[in-house]
Amino acid sequence: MTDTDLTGVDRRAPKVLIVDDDPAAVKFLADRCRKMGLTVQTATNGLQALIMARQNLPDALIVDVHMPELDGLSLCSRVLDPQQFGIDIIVMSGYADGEAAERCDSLGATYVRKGPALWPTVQSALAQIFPGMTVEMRDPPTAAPRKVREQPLILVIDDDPDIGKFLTTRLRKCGVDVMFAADAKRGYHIAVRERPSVIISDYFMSAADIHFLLWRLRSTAGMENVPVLAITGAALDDWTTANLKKGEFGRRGVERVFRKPLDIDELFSELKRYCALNYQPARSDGPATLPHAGGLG
Amino acid sequence: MTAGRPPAGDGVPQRRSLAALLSADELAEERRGYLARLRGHALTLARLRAALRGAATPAGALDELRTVAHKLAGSAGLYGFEALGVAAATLEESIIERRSGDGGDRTVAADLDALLDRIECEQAVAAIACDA
Repeated sequence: MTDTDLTGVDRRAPKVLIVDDDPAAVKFLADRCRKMGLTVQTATNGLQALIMARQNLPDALIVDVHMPELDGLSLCSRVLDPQQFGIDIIVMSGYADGEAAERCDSLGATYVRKGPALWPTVQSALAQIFPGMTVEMRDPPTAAPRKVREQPLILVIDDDPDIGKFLTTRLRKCGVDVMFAADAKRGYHIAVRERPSVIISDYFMSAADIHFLLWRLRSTAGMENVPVLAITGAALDDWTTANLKKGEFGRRGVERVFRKPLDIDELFSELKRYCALNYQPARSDGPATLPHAGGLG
Repeated sequence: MTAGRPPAGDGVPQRRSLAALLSADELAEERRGYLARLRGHALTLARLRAALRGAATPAGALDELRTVAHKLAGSAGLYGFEALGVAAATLEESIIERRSGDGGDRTVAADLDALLDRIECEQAVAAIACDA
């Protein structure tokens, strides 16, 4: 007789909550933790993780530092509240972050750096937290990503390379990885392979448009909820916009629709909801228009 | 407990505003690149302008013209060529109206001429700035 609840979860297995705004990192760690015999829950931002932690009381938390809504260290401070519950914490960072490492020391959390040594380091930390779960993985997951990126990925899909180039150049300066596809078919394949945190997609593309992208994404396991932001050069009527946001057959639609020429400040501010973008909205410190608009010839 | 202590010189990127994302040199280089790519679009537009002067507009010419106008309307403003973007958007609207029966060839041709003039103007301004 097994000790499982009605959902089939083994109640004896320690519970670990994995939190990262990079879905590829979440999958990478979740697959390996399950192989270790841990019960895994996942979240893609700090606020969602805080709610899950308070509801489900995980034994351990593996959390990225840089995340939208609530950053990893703030999350740690809240779940380590002695009035709440005891929990072991592993904090990951894509950057060399001395301040985060010091705060981890003060919180009694383990600081690990994303990169080639991420899993051995996390596995070692988990083995110390759960001595009974130190079984070496003889059969590592093969379908999972082989490595974890150091920063979140944004996928840009547009049949105009000038739009792609413009966005790619600026997003990379904001500390995220960016990939570009010239149509929705290529974009879909990149999305499934690379698991971006968020997708920016042109509405109309001659080869395959955003409807194709949404239809394929939402019917692919693991891609049902990846956020998609639509950008469009044509004015869409209210009915089309509403249906695009609502989605078809109960599947998730797009988060927002942005009209070209793009208001970059508005777009980047929206992106900050889905991944840790090192971007200061211009509304707070200057004009929202491009600085070169009138200044460079 | 700390594993993988950070090495020096590889820190967290600073949060930057839109104005601080690219340097003035990077912005100037970006604009030069856009202007260079614009030459290809201008050649296409000039070819289509010649086609529109014919007795009958060739099949597909308006589609191709709308595609180019649509792209320029979406991208020119981003690179700081707002007037060019407006001219391209006006041309795209004319093509849409022409298809719906509300406009004529004269309007499309006039708006196409205006767009070509604007491109020529931007390239001339850039050439003068380059010489200076």
